Amino acid sequence: MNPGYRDILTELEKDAFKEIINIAFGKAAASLADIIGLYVILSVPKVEVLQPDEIQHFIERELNETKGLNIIEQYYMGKIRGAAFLVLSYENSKQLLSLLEKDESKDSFNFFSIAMLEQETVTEIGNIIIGACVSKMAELLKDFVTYTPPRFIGGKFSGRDLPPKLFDKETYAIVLKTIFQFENKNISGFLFLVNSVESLDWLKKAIHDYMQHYGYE
Amino acid sequence: MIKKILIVDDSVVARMGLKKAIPQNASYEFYEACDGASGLEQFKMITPDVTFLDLTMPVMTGFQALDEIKKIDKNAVVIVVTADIQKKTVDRVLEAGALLVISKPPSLKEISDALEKARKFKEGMMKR
Repeated sequence: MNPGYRDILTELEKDAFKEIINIAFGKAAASLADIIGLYVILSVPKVEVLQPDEIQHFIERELNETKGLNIIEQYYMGKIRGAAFLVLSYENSKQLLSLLEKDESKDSFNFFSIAMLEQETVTEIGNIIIGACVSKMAELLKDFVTYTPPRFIGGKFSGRDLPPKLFDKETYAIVLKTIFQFENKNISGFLFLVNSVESLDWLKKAIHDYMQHYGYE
Repeated sequence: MIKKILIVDDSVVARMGLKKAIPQNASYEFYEACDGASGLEQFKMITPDVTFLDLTMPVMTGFQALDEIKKIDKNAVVIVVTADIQKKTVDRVLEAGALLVISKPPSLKEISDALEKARKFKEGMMKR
């Protein structure tokens, strides 16, 4: 890998990509607000370029800061492909569940354990947020992605769990992270996307096409 | 009449895009700021005719900047351009006094319509 890999995107391209992600996260928040009626406070996203061999360490560092995490993981495949992770603390997941609990759902507790219901709920929320965000990112880059089903991971996550083919040494990893907070609910979590870009030329062109389309160039 | 336009957004690409989307047939003066706090400072210094304001920004959010701008001039014309398209966000900024809200990425027509609306609003204010 070229030692200047962190500069594979110019500052302007990174800024444009960050703006695309900002719009994508905004779409995800709006979807969530529409579906479950929770207002999300958005934060400024961060964009970082990593070498493939740094990804495992990065994920472990990000996900091991807090003990007892609930993680929703979902993979997407298109010209841009990667993994999305929605991360909530165990306590926050429980709070989220209590917010969504409706009287009519109480009966279902007879059939599902609380833990199972919690998993189902958090997984569904993760699916909504990740799907809205990644689809919008792909749309703005004129790409189309398909998804694996979301996977719930309780407790610890190891970067070694990542499929080995996702990030081989010829790819670039562009990591995007945002913190989201549910207003007045003391619930927060973060969403990050680890994008593997096989064709840097394609990504650069897609970013420049976006900039041109919206008058940025 | 609109002469001075302030664009507040942490993304240089968004600021560039907005500037280019504004019809060039008028001799506008453009001013830029990269966060809510510096946007507020610019606002105090130049008293713009129209302010385009992003919401999700570091240092000071657009929500806070809007509140502060309205404390200085309740008739200030602020057009919010944001990726945060939740209904509650839109309701909140309109209630706080924004003239209108445009979702990102804005189209040329949206910007042009927004400026026309701003011009009419300012004319209406002057007639009072």
